[in-house]
Amino acid sequence: NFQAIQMAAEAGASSFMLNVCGQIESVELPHYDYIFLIYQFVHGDDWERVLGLEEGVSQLSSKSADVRGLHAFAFPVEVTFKSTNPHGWPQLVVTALGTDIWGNQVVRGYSVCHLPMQPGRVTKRVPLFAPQSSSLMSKLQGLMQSEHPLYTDPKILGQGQGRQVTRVRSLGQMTLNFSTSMKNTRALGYQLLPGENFGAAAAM
Amino acid sequence: SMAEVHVIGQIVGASEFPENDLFCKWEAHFGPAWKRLEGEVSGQTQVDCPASGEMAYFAHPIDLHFATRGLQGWPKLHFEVFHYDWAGRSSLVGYGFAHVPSQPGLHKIDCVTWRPTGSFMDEVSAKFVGGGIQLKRPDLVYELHDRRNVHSTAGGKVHLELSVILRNFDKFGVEC
Repeated sequence: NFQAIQMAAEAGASSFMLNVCGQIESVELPHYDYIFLIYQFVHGDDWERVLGLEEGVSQLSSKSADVRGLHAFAFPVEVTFKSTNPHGWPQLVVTALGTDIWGNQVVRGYSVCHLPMQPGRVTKRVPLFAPQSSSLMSKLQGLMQSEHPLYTDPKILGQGQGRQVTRVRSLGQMTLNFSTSMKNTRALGYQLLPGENFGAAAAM
Repeated sequence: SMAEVHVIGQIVGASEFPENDLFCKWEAHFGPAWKRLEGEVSGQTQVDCPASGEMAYFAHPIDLHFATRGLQGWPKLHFEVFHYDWAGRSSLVGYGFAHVPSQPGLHKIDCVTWRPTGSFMDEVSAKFVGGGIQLKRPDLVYELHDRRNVHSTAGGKVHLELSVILRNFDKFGVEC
């Protein structure tokens, strides 16, 4: 309500908070039998993670034996951020890993998506993709030496530069859900949803 | 305090193109009343060849922060979709553009594309030798120019998921 907004603004609130509770529900990667996930956050310099893990590691999943061929994780993602600026809004980067026939850990796919920018509950389906060798020769070499292309730092997926001319193969989907709430975004003058007109606040 | 706009999201991917192995170049354009405070105004995505299904996925982040003194010249994003063939050559397969939505919230946008149509010989040669024709002046895609001399053929679609956050618009009496 208008009074609460005015009080917060007068109290000199200079930062807002973003709270996200959700889970990585499941992964469809029909090619692979054993998968586990590692998630990380990528965010701008104005953002600070105040609660939640820097990196989460899931259980090892076996594909369901039925026609779905599903990897179900129900893996919780809970995080709170504090920020002075929506720029650099946090993104969730997930790496899906498995093992090859020689027992080496291998990247099966990556996904990247922004945390929601509106309060509420949302279910998302996000594609998984794996980097490919840049040439046929390196692909054959890789197969023989069991070296699979991967990103040295998956956080590059949160950036807008540095991914040109990288070849990938998209090969699955990840389903996630998030419940999101914010604090102080209105006091700082941010309008996140349509139809929010602060009306009387405009007189300030 | 100025009116500010944040545009944050992704170029999700492209679909309905006859080719696989696609990538996308993008660029933001805006009028003189607008000032870019933070974020890159252009970029180029990864090249995706999907294992199955129709959609080539880019998952490419866009995060722009503008300050503005007026509504004219509202920002728009323009896209060029290319096919990256087995020999490493790129050919243009679609031009498109989309205005940044003026309403705050989450927007899923499907952006149609077109490519310039060549003469009969151009089209035949493109089928065998590869390489499509391109516009000499790419701003034709997003500016209010007369297009009467352009002949185009439909391309596929570019899919965007963008969230818009407005700041202080109500203080200036602007409703979006």
